Amino acid sequence: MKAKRNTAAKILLIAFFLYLFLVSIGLMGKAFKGFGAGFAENLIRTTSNPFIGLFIGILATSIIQSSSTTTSIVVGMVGSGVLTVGNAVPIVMGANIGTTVTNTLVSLGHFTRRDEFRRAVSAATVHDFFNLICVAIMFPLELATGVLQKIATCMSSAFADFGGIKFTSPIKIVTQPAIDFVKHFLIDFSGLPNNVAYILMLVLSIMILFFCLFFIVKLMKALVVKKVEAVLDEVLRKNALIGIVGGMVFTAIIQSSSVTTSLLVPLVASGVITLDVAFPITIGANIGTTGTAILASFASAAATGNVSAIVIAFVHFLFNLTGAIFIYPIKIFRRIPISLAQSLGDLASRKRGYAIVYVLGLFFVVPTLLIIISKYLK
Amino acid sequence: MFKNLLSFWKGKDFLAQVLDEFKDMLDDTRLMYEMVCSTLLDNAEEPDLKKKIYEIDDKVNNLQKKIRTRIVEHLTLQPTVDVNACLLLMSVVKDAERLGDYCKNLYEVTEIVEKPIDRALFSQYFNGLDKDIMTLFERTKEAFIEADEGKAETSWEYERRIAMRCDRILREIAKSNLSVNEAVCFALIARHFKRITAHLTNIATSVILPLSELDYFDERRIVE
Repeated sequence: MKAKRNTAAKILLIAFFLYLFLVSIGLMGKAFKGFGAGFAENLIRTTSNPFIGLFIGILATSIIQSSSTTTSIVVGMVGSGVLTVGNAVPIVMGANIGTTVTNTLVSLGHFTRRDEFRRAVSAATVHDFFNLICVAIMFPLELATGVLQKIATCMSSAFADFGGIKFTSPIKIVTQPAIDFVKHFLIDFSGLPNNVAYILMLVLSIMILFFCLFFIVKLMKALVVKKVEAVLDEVLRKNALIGIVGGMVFTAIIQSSSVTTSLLVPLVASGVITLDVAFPITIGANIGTTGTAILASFASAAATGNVSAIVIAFVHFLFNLTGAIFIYPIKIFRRIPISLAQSLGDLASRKRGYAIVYVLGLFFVVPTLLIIISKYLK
Repeated sequence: MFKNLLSFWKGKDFLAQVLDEFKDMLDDTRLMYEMVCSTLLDNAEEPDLKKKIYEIDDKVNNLQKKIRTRIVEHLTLQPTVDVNACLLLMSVVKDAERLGDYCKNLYEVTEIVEKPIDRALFSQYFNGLDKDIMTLFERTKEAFIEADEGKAETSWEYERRIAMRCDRILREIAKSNLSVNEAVCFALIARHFKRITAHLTNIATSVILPLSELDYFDERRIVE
């Protein structure tokens, strides 16, 4: 009985944080719109270099360790019109690379046992290499053809034709009063200058977004982890397709690929599962994590009426789906991230400092330097 | 279909699953002991005994690995839940695995014994010790699975009597006129009986001993 009450309380809290999350996306859209055309032009100009966009995505996500947060903010920006879909695509791709920092940091926890450390580093970095390869293929392809954007636009227009905006209207009905309340309070009653009020609104919305995602992930994990454990053997010891679907569903529920991939690290490190078993689950997590941005895009579209938010969310989904479809089924392609991860694991186990150099280099130093260089060259 | 999906979703609780597997380990080792004793001491015909014993021992070893795997999975997913139970299980599965090994060692005595053991002579030394150990198998299982402190205390008492008896048997054999083969076989049986009893008692007393004191029930007895 007590357990049932606990579960009910958790579900109610999740619903509450989900509501706040949708409100925060709406608020963010209002705040960006409030900054005016000058701000939008400036931001669009800054991110017009796709390489800068890519490195901003890597750096921002590595710092906040959540691609869901980065992509939700990007969705909010696109929805409010301060960022174009084209400029947002590289940021989303960068976020995909940046999000892999969390499980790589988790692998460093196995530092003291050489063989365990080797397996842990391999398990963590297979996600990095997979995403790096996806970006290496899709980033130039997207720049040259805009294929992902085109498909996503088709999908979202079909969505709009079938009443996409109408579909999101229930979200608007429930979130609009809260958004209006905060907006009226900050703009009309606080007596603050408009610019300051909008900055405050933006800061508040990002804080709420962080806070909500943190608690949604925490509560969802607590809610489903027992069930996951009960069916873990079914996922781990069956075929790769079940692994992909399992990783996708688990991540879509808890809304964090970092949690899924970080859980795989100790399992591989301790030898419970092999890297080949962990890899499809990681790919599934990559797809599952796009659910948060899609949810945010509905809220953004509801608040602003702009379907572009849904387009960028679909680009994120398609990017991860394409990677899974084109890399995993072909054995020779599939072996590339696995072999690279194993090589890095071997290297890191021989000279453990390399793992730290790798983390700092890939996620922080290189993106920062390249952003500075790109700006300087400009 | 829906029923299947529901049962898949409901799954089985970690502890219930591990306890079931641990119970299987105890049942399997008890069966090994029973089969070996009936061949060794009652001269019962058991075709392919060696194959059967080694197969069951393999099964026991695999169950140990399976339980360890489940524990790692559980602590990865829920690092703060059932930590003590996991550490305790990690310790007792080792004891259960050792039970399998000692039953196997006991079987090996059947391969070196030159003529069928004279039950009357055996009873003169062992005085129903084999039956006591069989009872201890049952009590240990009940004590552990039901977390019954009373039964755990009883097992502890059993161990004391059996261990003392085994030590006395060795002293008696050393002074006896038994043939070399009989003396070696009886000494080995006494030794293996004592080890089996100790491992069973490790399992039973895990119900009452603090985690840090596991396996040191004899030291605890001196203190008490």
